[in-house]
Amino acid sequence: MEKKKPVEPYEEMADRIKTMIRKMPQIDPPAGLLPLVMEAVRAKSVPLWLRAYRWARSPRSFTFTLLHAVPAMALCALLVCTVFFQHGRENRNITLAESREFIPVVFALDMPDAHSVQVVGSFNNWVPQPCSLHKDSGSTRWTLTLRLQPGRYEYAFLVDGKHTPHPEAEFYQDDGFGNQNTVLALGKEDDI
Amino acid sequence: MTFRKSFLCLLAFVAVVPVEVNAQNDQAGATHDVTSAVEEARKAGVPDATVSRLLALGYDNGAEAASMANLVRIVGTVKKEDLPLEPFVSKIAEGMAKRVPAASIEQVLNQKKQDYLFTRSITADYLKKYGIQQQVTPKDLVGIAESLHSGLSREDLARTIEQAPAGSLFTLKRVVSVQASLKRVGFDPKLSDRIVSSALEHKFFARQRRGFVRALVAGKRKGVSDEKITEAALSTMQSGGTVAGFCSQIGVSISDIGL
Repeated sequence: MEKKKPVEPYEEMADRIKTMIRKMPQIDPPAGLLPLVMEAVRAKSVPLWLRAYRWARSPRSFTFTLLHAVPAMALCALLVCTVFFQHGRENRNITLAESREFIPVVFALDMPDAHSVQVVGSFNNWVPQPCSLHKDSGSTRWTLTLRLQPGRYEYAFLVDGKHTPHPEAEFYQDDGFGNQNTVLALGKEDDI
Repeated sequence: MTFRKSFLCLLAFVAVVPVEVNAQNDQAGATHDVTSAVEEARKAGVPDATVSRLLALGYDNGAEAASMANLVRIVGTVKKEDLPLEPFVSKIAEGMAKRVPAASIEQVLNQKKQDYLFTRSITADYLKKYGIQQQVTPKDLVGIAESLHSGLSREDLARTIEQAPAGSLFTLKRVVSVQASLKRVGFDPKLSDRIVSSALEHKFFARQRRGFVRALVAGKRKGVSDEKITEAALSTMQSGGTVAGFCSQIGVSISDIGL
């Protein structure tokens, strides 16, 4: 028959543990313990890109009212209109050569009945794109501003596809192919 | 542009030249012709960028290989003569854009080359005559030579340069431009000679006198008589007047001459 071990009373056990603790030697913690512990518990620094990535991936929700949305939509519409307007302006103010020095030249032609007017010349290899003149509504004058380097150029208009020298210019030159070109001299050196 | 780009342009051009099905030998010959023309031009010193531009023009306009070879060859001879290339390349671009037959473009280029050689010769004689130590720059040469397409004949040009007093090539260029412009609008040659002489004497072709020649031409176009224009021009020059004053005398506004 198995002999039952007597149960130690709680008070006696506590006294015994206290006695054992008192008898334990006094040991100082090692010198590097504190930094080790602090290093272990310190929060690791996360790179900015990772934080941004986590932020971007975190699902969010926002609420808005119609009163809030209307000004935002108006701002978007304004931005879109501005971009279109700038694009239109750039089309009328074309730079045809890469250089530090440009001279803005306004090509203008009174041709109320024309459907399209383009300018071709030695500055654009005689190719009309992208040099179409524009006419404002209610106006009879077609205009286009090009930014050209100083120098001597020959040009002509294509009025509905037909070669037409500038009727208001003072200087012309035979092109050798049976037409006349207008001569344009830009810059102080080439004033004629 | 690099040699690689030139080569790619050449390949692209050769690949698309229009050929007849039963003319493969011709195609091979023409292709070889373009290649050899390009080589000749490059040996003559035509920059790769110019060669590429020419080939790209041919490609864009669907030029025949044989014609393209001839045009490239002409540009090579222009370079050999040490003439400025830009007017010739630009003329090729113009001719192709205007759908002019290649033979006509070649004819115009050859004529232009002769005009430039003639102009350079008489300009050099002018400098030599007055002992002026100045090189004929491409810009000066273009300015003077192109007057032959603006109204002056070779005889007119030679006479104008022969009669011009000693001065810079800038002044000579102005004199020639004025004579060409006045002749083109039908101005009395004797009166234009008087205006030019007086303008040289009173330094009225200086850069500060911007717009003077435009005013002369604008007056003529407005129907003012040659005599009245000449009289106003001479009095303005003799009294040291301004271009604006001259304009008001002949009824031309400043905006008419773009100032």
